[in-house]
Order: sequence, then C-alpha cells, then structure tokens
Amino acid sequence: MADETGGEFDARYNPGHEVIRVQAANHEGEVVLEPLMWGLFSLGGFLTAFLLPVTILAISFFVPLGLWPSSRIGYAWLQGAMNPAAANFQGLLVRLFFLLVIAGSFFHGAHRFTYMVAEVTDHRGEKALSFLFHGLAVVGSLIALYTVLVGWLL
Amino acid sequence: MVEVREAAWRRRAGWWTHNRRYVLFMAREAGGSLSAVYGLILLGLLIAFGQGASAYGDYLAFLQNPLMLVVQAVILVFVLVHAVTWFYLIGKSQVVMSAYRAPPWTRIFGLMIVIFLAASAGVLFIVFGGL
Amino acid sequence: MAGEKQVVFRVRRYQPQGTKGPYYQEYTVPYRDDEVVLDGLNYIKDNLDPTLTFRWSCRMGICGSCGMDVNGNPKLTCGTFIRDASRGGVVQVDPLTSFNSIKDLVTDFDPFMEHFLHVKPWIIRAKEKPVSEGEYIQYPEDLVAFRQQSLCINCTLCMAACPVFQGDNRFIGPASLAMALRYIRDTRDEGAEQRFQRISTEHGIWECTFVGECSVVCPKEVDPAGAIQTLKLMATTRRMKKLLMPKSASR
Repeated sequence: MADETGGEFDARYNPGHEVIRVQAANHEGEVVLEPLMWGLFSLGGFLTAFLLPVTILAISFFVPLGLWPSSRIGYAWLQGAMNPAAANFQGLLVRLFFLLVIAGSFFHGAHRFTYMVAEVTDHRGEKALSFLFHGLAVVGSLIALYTVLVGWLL
Repeated sequence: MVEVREAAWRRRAGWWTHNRRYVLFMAREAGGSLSAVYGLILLGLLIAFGQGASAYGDYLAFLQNPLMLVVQAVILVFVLVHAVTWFYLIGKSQVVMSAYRAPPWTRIFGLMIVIFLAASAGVLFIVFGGL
Repeated sequence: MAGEKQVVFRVRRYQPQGTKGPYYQEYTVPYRDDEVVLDGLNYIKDNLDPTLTFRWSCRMGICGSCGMDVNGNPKLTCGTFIRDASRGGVVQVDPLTSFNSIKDLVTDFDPFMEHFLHVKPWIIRAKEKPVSEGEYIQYPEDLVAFRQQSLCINCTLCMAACPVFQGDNRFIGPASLAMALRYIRDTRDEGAEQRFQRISTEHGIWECTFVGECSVVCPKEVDPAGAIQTLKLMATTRRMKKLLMPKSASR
C-alpha cells in the first residue's frame, strides 16, 4: 500500500505535482544505542529534578545568604560526611549521592544539549555531536566515580 | 503544460517565541543542559577536595565570587523550571503509559512534589548534616 | 448569513500557476455569535470570492478535513467560533503549518500519508484467523488500553503544532506514532516487532523531544505526546531485553 503513494500514482493522477520525498524515514534501520541513552537521560532527569535544587541551595546559596556559617560546607564537613570507614553507611550514601547527581546531570545534559544543537543545525552532524556529548558524559562520570572512590576504595 | 509549484513551508528561527508552552519547552531544555554545568561545578568541588583543605577552601571562595554567584543563580532558576516541568510531564504521560485506569495528572504531580520535598529533606539531613 | 457584527478575514492566498508568491487578501464578513470560522470561509466563497479554495467536509469535527492555522494556531475551522477567534476585529487564516500549500488554504499532506502508512496502521496477524473460528475475544480493559489513540481523525493539527516536524518533515510525527501505539496495544495485533523496527529509528520516536504541543492542539484528546513517551519506554525495555536475554525477547 505504501507503494501506491508518490511515484507512479502521482504521475497518473497528479501530473506536474512535486511529491515530497520522505524516503529517509522509510528505509533507515532501527537504532541500538539511542534507547539506552534515552534510559540514562530519563534516569538522569529524575535524579536532577529531585536532588539538584536542594544541592545548589546548600552549596551555592545558604552561606552567602547567611543561613549557614561557611564551616557547614567546609573541608572538615565533607571529610566527615564522606567518612572513609568502609562499613559506614552515611559515608557510602554521601559518596553515592555525589556520584548519582554528577553522572545523572551529565547524561541528562548531554542528551538535551545534543538535541538542542541538532534542532538549530537542522540535524546536520547529529550523530557526531551525539557521540561527542555522550562520550564527554561517560568520561565525566568516570572521573566522578574516581573522585568518589578516593579515600574509600582507592 | 503549465508549470505548477507548491508554496514551500519553512520553519522560522523564532518559532519557539510563538506561544508560552514553546518558551517553557526551551527553558526546560536549557535547564536540562545547565544542570550538567552544575554537575561540573560539583565535580570541581570533589576534585578540589581530593587536593586538600587549602585547594578546597580556594574553590569554595571561587564559587562565592559575585560573577559565579550570578551564574549559579541562573542555573538554579533553570534547574527549578526543569524540575517543575519534569513533574508535570510525568503526570501527563503516565495517563497513557499505564494503559488502564490511571490517576489524574494532578495527583501524580502532587505526589512528585511530596517526593521532591522528602528527597530534599533527606539530602539536607544525610549529606549536609541537617539544618 | 445576515448579522449585525462584522469581522475582517485576513486569508492567505496562493495561486500555483503564475509567478507570484503567497499573499494576504482581506474580506469583510458578517457573522453571528454561533458561527464558526468555516462558516466565514464559506460565506466568502459563496458571496465574495468564488476562487478561494479550502478543504472541509463534515463541519462537525469528525472528518479532520478543515484543519488550518487560525491566528497562527492550528485549529479545526469547523470548531472555532468567530467570536473567539477575532483579534481586534481580524481573523487571520493561514494554511496549516508544517505543510507546503498547493493552492490557497489547501495543503500537501503527502509527508503525513507516507509516515502514516509507514507504521502499518492495520491489524497484523502471523496467520489470519478464519471467520469460521469465531470472533476475537476482547475484554473492556483490553479496549481501554488502546481506545484513546483510536479516536484520531487524522486532522494533522498535531503535525502542524510539532516544532520537530515543522523543522524536519522526515520525523514520523505524533499522529502516525500514536497510531502505532494503538495497534501495538491492541490485543488482536501481532505486529509489535515489525512496528518497533520502523519507529525505533533516528527519525522515529527518538526525534521527539516531548514538547507536548501535539497533545494540546488535538481536538480528540488522543494525547500523542503521552503515546510517544510510552513507545520510548517500551522500546527501551525491549532493547534491554534483547541485549540481556536475546533468546526470550519476542513480542
């Protein structure tokens, strides 16, 4: 049935009619990485939405707004919060928190930014851009993983 | 044969200013992208921490300088817009996702807000040691 | 159409033969409170300018023919009251966004038709069930699963509202993807695998960025945006199943 639109059909019934060819959608194959990237993007979106606002307030604004003394987010605090004792539950949670927020925001941002740029450039070079930004997200997340493991497993 | 042509359609550059929802969509996209910038700030914090107390103190001072505060304020606004629109979208899309009887989006939105407040309190107390 | 109130219809004209591009023509149209934009266009054609060309049919919001941009917003002109559409005494009517226009307000929606047929909008069975074996049994909850998307009247207002499709006609678009979900969710259908192969593509569901405008303009509340997000989730779980358990991954 799809063969009946355009081509011969138009030559018979719509002479002189320019048919818009949308072949790309008909012949391209299924994507493999994209669903997984979307899954990570979605997860990152949840993490960013729930955990980031309070984090920004605590780290960037509570001190200048006078709600906290600067020692509350000082070196000693972070050292205590990340507590190196492997069995310490809170230390594990804090390290996991930082990893999830950082990695989540990277994967979420990479996906969004790729599509924002793709819209502006009319999808030219979209595959390359996607590879670049998602690659940066992977690299950034690995660095975050490293910093979170230092003093605990490393 | 007379030459016939169609009048071609082209999307204009300012398409997203056309209505409020498009503008909110753009803000949401910007919020998603800017959240990654704050992720970088947090990563910088952890790297500075790994370098010792003095490097960490310098980094915190850097974050407090007026220009960086403006940057962080802009990021906060966009991240909040992103969070609110995210909750709204979850509410709206789960109606179709759940296929069968689904609660109205307002209830899901309310649930998201409750989880958001609980998660924020959790972060404040577990990570930052309380108020 | 006698009435005391008057409004100016600013209508985009285009003549396919000839060298002039699109231009606007204004008509003064009397109207009553209970009349719609389509009534105004028909008044123009009957009384003022018989050359004005536009599509319409049922005039009651079920055929999907009369979609046009009213003051820049995609609407069914049979369902838009003139009293609501008047902006300072002017109603602007343009052909529906996203599509080329053939003449005046008549658009070329071939791109939509190609995408629509691409998702195979019919029941696919591995083996057709003969009539002698009786009817397909479906329960009320089976119907609820796909009923909302089955209400689509193919008016393409969603395709007009979608900024992704506006920018890239290769995007399969909300209407066709909502139809894909309608068939995937139908318990009589066995073609989910074929359809996912056609929609889990670069220009398929993954090009959607969930703007949501399609669901806002839909006159039948089909919610194509929700349908596409559902498809994304289904496609993701399907892909993960294939990666982790390649033998058991099937419908």
